[in-house]
Amino acid sequence: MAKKVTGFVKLQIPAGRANPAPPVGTALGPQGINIMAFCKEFNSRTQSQDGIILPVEITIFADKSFTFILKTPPAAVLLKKELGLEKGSGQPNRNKVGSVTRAQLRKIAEIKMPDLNCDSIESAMSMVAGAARSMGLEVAD
Amino acid sequence: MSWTTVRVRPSADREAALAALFAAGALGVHEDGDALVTQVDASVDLEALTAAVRAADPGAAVETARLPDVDWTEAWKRGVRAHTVGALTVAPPWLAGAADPARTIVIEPEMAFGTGEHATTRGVLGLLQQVLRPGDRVADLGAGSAVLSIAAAKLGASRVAAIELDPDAIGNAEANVAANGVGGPVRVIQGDAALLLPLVAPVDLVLANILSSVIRELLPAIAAALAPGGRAIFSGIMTSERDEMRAALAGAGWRVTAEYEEEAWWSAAAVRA
Repeated sequence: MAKKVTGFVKLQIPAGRANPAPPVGTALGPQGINIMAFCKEFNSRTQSQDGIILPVEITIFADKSFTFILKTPPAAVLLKKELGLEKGSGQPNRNKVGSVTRAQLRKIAEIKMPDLNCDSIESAMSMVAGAARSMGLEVAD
Repeated sequence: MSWTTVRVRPSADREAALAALFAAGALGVHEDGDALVTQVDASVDLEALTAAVRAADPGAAVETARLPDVDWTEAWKRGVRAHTVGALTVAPPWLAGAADPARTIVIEPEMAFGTGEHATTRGVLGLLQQVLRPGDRVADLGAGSAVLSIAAAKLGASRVAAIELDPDAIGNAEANVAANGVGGPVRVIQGDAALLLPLVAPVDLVLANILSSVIRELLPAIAAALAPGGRAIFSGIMTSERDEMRAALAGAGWRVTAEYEEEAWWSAAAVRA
């Protein structure tokens, strides 16, 4: 398995719901990989997180075999899920849509930690707090 | 089905633009460089979608274009071919049709390496036909799709251990072994080749289509696993690494008996000198 990389595709797909129609088929089809095999594997690995949007990075090798890694959902998506919000504020400085506690920040920071370039949970929490403020959430001390 | 491509170049708030696309009905988004690209069917209101993206990220540029209707569940197959090396052919199921099953290795191209589309796979297939003797016991290190293990079985190996570390490859390898009717001689085993090789020893032939650095680390374990008169086929070696690899093999007591070169890849059959 002398793997030479020939392609790299980044997608965001709801967990458990990949299908070969566009946009998954349109993005991966030109790479010549087995789209059904990708969809089946993605869905089986993510079905427990049903519906949450997951970033996935697919690496394609010279012989059309492939691999993929799942990333954690964006902080804003996790914050909305945690707080049960429909969407963030259009004017985050003026219109606050809710507030987030330190415990909630820590919970999300722990989920995001593998993908963040942080060496401590505190710095991960401050990055999540920044995402929270930019979507119109107050951060409780 | 009629599809429209929506390409968004976000401005200040990429996350908000992305969220707006999903809220408006996108089933997925392709991050194409800086752009966010999706396709929506006729049930999605394009004006509403464009307005929602601009409301979320006022500086975002939104372009839409009709997308030609392509059935990607079938169209990707056009890029996969059958490959013949000597008397053996590797083919995906839809091209295997009337081919002689005794000389055809049917591989479903999935996540596992070894679809036949790579020169290193073909290099081992070529050398295998020169050095495999009927009745050989074989270990295939880094078996991937099990393409080489299946070939060894079809050429007359009495038993083959298809050893693969990558869990993503195992299901594909097992399905390929079953589809080729070689479930008797071929066993797919998940794990580290250095640890498993002593457990399947002695063998008459080792196949190692991996990477030159990994092969060099495995040389002592391979030598220890071989029965007297045993042989090995090494592949996954760039032609630029050939001289270094030759020296490493000679230094470890191996003699190269046959070579195969294709594109930038060198494969070699060797015996213990």
